[in-house]
Amino acid sequence: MYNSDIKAQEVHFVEIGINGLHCSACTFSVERSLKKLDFVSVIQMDLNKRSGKVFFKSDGSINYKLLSKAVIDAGFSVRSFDVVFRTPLIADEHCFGKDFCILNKEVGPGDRIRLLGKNFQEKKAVKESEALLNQDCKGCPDASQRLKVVLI
Amino acid sequence: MKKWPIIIICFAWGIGLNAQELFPNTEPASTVPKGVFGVRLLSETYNESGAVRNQFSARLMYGLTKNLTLWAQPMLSNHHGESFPADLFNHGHSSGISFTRPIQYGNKYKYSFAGIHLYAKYRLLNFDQDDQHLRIAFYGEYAPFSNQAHDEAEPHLQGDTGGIGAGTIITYLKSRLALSFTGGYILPQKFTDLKSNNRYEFSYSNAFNYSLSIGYLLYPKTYKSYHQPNYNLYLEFIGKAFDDAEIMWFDIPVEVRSPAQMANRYLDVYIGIQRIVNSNNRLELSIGVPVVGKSYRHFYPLLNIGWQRYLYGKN
Repeated sequence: MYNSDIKAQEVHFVEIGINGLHCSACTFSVERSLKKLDFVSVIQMDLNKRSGKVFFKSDGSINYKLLSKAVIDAGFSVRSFDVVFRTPLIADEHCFGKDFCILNKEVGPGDRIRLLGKNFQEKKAVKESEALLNQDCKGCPDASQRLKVVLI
Repeated sequence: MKKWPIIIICFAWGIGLNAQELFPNTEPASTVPKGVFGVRLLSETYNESGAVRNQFSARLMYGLTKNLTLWAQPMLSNHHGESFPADLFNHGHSSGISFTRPIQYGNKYKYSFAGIHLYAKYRLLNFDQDDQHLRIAFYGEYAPFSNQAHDEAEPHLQGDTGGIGAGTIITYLKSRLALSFTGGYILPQKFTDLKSNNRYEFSYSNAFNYSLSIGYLLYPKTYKSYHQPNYNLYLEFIGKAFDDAEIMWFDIPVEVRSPAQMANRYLDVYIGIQRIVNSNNRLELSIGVPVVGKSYRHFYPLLNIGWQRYLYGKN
């Protein structure tokens, strides 16, 4: 089981851009799928932007892969997946927490990271991120387990 | 006839409004969300020479995986009796040839359990972008039996004949305009009349089935909440092509002369309106009329009413 060591209370929300949402019934299905996750507190779907903001229970940890899976299981695709922190994070190195690898050349400060790769971006964006995704996280513990992100 | 392509183009582009793919009479390539049950109630009504024919169906759907949807659909109708009419055919004593009579329409039949329709749809490909998507699915369908003596050549697995079928669905959605094509093939079971003294064996023709569905969202133009009602407008072209039926009477072939039992190809159009309440309850009404040829399985106009709801469970 994947778990972030970044406390849920440090995360303001996760914003997921969702492809394939073209009706309120579809949006409702995604919301219900996300609500099944026990670490999710509140969901604010935006039917016009075809995206959703997910807020979390403060006492738990966040499983980002399960959030993406919930969208895909509802029959849709993830276009973008951003984690927004309550306060700008000070990232002075590419290893962030134990679960993220920041791939920007210059890091921090910033309050939003964008997850890269399959199930977190649309196919076209994954191709465009190929050069970044091919970078490794040398020097980071458990490098192969880390989610690759950019600070935006 | 030549006006139809123009009408379709105007419908699709000229009006330029929003579209949906929750078609009342055909299936899109999209699937039921994983782990979610859905209930769909359907009613089909037409007047057959003074006899009002109805079919009521209750479809229970389930999203087994994100790509695989299953359903079971029992059906109740007054389309036919349990045996073929005694005057199904004539026998020429001088020629020795048996041949079918024109079907006598308007007979009164009691409502009875017509059969069950089982269906599986697998979404094979999925090209999703922000404002458009293209989805391709394969489907298979199976009706284990028919409980009614359907006396037309056209197979219909949702209520009139047993058999199997399979096909492909291609659904494209741009902005809010949706287009969906379905092409399939049906291998019906024959019906042996064991309940009358005439031992009829009716072999329905294999059939190609095809449809083109178009839909768009009339309202709202801008979403504000889940509680806003949605109104969708649909135009669905649905048809089949098939050969003559084969009929045996005590193992003697009966020559098919009734048009309803002969080869046919036709295309109907269904014009439908749909209201979605609280983003889950679908209510829809559509009316079907012939465009090219006609079906002998039913009379016109057809009035179809549907209601659907997903059961998400508690959370």
